[in-house]
Amino acid sequence: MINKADFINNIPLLIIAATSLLILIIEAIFPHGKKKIGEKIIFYLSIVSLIVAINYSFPQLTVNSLFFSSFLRLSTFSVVVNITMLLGILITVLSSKEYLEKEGINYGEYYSLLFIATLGMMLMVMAYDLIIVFVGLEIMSISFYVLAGFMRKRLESNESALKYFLLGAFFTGFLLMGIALIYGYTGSTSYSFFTNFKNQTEPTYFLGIVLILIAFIFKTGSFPLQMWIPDVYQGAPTVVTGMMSSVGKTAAFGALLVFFTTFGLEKFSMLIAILAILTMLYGNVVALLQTNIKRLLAYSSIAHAGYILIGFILVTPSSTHAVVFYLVSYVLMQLGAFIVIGIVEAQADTMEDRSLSNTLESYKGLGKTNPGLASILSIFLFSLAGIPPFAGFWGKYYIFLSVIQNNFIWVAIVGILLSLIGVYYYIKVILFMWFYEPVTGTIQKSKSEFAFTAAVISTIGLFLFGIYPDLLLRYIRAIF
Amino acid sequence: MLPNWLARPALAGLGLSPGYSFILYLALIFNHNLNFLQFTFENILILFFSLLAVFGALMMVTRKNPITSALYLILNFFCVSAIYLLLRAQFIAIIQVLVYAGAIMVLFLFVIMLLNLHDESKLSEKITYKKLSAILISLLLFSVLAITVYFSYMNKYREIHSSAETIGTIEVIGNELYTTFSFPFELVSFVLLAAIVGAIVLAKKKFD
Repeated sequence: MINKADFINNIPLLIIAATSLLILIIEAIFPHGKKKIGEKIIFYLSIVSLIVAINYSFPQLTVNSLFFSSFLRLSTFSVVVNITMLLGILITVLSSKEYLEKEGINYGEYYSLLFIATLGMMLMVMAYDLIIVFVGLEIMSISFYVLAGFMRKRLESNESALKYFLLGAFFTGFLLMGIALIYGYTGSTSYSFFTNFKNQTEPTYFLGIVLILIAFIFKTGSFPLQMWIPDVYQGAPTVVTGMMSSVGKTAAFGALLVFFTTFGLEKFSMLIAILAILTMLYGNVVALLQTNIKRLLAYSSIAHAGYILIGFILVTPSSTHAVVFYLVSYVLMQLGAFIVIGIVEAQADTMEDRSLSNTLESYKGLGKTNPGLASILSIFLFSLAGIPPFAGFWGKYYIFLSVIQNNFIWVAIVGILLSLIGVYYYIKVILFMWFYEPVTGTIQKSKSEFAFTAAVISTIGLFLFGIYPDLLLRYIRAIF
Repeated sequence: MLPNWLARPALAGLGLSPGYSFILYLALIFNHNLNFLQFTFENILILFFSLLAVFGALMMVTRKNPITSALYLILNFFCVSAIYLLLRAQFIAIIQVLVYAGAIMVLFLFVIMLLNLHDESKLSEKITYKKLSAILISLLLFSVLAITVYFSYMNKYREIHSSAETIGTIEVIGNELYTTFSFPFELVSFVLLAAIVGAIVLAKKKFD
């Protein structure tokens, strides 16, 4: 039964859920039109409630127990990942306002869906029961399908939403079938129950785990099931793409990590190693050929899924710490890069120009027309490439260190070689920005103050965790 | 390209919907250890409905007219519902009819009518190698699932568990839903909320 302690210890979750409902009510009271009071209230309410939720999350870092009749588990791991995701959503909200206004889609429903998605993502990471994993994943996915198609007048946005929806719904079926098979064999869906079944080789149980793994490989966009990522990420509104590719993947990897530790999947380590290498290879090599920056970053996000997957080869404390560190830095840099792309996109006036502004060509000479924006984007790209003073470097460092400690040295060598390929296309964008003359009359002064602030916050985070990683590691080391 | 007379049955036989009917059918046959000798009335009914479900699914995939296909799908849904009923899952049986045969099929028919498909010959597609490989992969998935179910349950669960009759009732499900599973039950409301908000946002004709 649900009691008072459940509510007291899950205030962030409740705040997020309540805000999503409150936004819908505000939207109904103040319809958009001449006065923009409603838009303002919703925007500031979202920011305040996210800050409050983050604030209430920090005391939970030491809690380690089950809530809501053992459907949810609060642990240091889930709280750290939740704070990361809440921070990512905060940055997303900050960066969305001007972009949405430019597109003419600044509706309260956007923020409401964003909060519902956040609720789903938090549930996925906190889940201590396969039912909650499923429900959380569905809450997240359905919100994402809608958010991807939020630019209703743009064909590519519609295409993105439809492709994401059809494929996502199909792979949800895999997840559900897997859960059904596991339930059929064990008679329970609770994680506490499965510790008795470690190293079980019964075919039903095994197949159930494999089907759930397939669903997660799809959601994280790893190798054999990565085909949806470029199309979906290119068509969706840029702020949404940033959120899906960073925070959404964090949730999927967080849930996957809990799944791995619960089921003890050591026998899959070879398979995961091969998948990780193929994911990195595919993402890095195909990204070389891209001419659209959103597509380029979509392929780079596939490559990054590969790096994170390395941490899943053998789930030990050190690899868990590495994965969490990587996720934090990945959220900051991936989200930041997409925010800058969104700002550049919002500078163009017509819809056609906004689509065109995503080509690599239009980034030529950005360093001359808008040096502030170009330097921030350069920082994000350097961090994504793994160049030392930024947090992205330490993410890769800890990942490769953990895999070497686990005696998979060949994976580390291949991974480092492949990440060197990745440096090429990140540097290519930076070259375009700083060493080419601008294409005439393309870029004006940007008026996106909030988005710029959001990008600066991410940059500060990358610098801080890059120069002084112990700041973050102090929390992460408490996970085990 | 496959010859057309072979292509249609191949697609039909290996399509997704017959696949899951087949799995149910196989599971039932082997779980009950039917052997085609134990002709209890119940087993005969199960066999009858399973075969009818497979027939409905096959007909659904092979029909040219989409409305005929949809009607055969209803037949399939009703047969699956009957199988649930024979397995003592009354609640799921009723929900199957209400939700699938009722709500979802009405939606299907509406979509078909709205799409206004006049030229039905355009709908029939040729089998390419890409599709053939898709068929092979779905066959592989089907066989993996079927074999797993077969080997796992071969020697267990030969008859319906005695408590099955009490578990499947609406009272028990309602009780469980509002006590043990109250948390996930309430979370599902957020899935519905997201879907409703999303449907309005994406489909509303004009935003002011």
